[in-house]
Amino acid sequence: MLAVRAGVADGAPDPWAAAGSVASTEPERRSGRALGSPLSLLATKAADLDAAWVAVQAVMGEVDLAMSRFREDSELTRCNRRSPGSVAGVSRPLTRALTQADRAMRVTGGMFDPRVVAALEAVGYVGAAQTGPGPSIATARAAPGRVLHRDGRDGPISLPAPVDLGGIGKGLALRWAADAVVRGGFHAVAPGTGFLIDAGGDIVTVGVPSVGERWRIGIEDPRGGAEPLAVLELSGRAAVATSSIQRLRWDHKGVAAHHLIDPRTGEPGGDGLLAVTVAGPDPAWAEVWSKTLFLEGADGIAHAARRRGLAAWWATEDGRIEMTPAARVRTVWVAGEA
Amino acid sequence: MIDRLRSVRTPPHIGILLGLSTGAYAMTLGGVTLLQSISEAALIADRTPAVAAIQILQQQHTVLDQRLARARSAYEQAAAAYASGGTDVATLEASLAELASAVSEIKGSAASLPTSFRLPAISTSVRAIKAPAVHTNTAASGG
Repeated sequence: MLAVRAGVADGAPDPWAAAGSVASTEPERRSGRALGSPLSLLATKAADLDAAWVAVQAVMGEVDLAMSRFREDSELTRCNRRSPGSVAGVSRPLTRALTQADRAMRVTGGMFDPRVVAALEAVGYVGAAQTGPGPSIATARAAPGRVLHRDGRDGPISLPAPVDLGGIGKGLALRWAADAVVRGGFHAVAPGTGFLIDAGGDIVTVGVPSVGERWRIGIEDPRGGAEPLAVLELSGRAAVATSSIQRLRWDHKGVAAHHLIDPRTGEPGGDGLLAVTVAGPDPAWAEVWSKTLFLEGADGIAHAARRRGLAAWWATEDGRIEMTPAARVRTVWVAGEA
Repeated sequence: MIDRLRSVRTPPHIGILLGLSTGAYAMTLGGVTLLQSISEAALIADRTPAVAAIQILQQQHTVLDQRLARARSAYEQAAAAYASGGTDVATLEASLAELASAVSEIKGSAASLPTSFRLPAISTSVRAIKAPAVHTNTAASGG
């Protein structure tokens, strides 16, 4: 099994981009859909590319079946319907996802909280039907404690409140898909080669697209502009995630609503922001931090991002694109600075 | 005559009285002396703190005198430095006078220059640099 290395530190020489014995070619693409979003694999030309694509689709399918809040037959829907009761025989991927979400909630001081299902449904973002009355918004807002409880290491799992694993689930799917491709022997660890998986705007990269090149990622303009707001470069094992209200925004009873719920208020948060992008070594944590920073709003995001040393870009409602120093060193182009 | 004189003898009570008065005088004198010595001892005891204070005052006066001497020395040094600075100021004033003279000459030259002149026309177009090609975009994840 091939090892996956961590992201390259700023300023350090990048062995992935070094010239090697493998010929430099333009990456090839495979496209489809998964987790309710477009899915694509972009990789250096290789004989085993199709095998890598099959591995990616298999992981995405497994995650969708385990974690989708919108599928009647998903494990998560089954657990949510039993909440706060316990469920036995929960699969390993869902258990890992719930554990990861629980840890993310603790690390972010509760700002990342997947237990806001009641608040999401209250503003019209409804998933698979729940049986029973379900928790009120007030319950979802105020409930302290954990995402899950478990009796022992292999005991049944109980969710004190229904959870939505949409964002972190996609990040974990990308992490596991990249691992699966590397485990499958794809030659991404050779110099001058690599692959990129894009799941609806959340991205994980391994290696480089070709000799001397890095993966160039555009940050889409949330106001619908044709050009990106900024272009950043990644190489090695890296990830980008964006939390935005660009696509999931609607009117609910005459009030503008979106799907990014602030657990402190139980209502859509992120005043003054349209989108937040975070880059880091892992797609699940990039997703957690992009959502957490979005909820800080335009007034608090700069301090929160810099305090954590995050590479973050954010687009404000008044049309500005701003970024942290850690993001600036990864940025190769910014709209308005050209 | 001698016998008559011998017959005139000092009566003994006179001698006793004389002795007693002499003794009383001596005792009175001794008492007075004793009282005077006690009084002087008390006076000395009363004056001891004042003497100590006078000694301290004398020491502080010496310290103050030394400080005044140092201050006088510093003042003299400052006065010498000020006198030296005065020389520098005089030099600076002379330099400023030269500068003023040069500026007035430049003013005279500038007055003879044209107030405006035409630049040659340049035809060009400026294009905004477009975003570089990207491999993919990051956007709303939908999660």
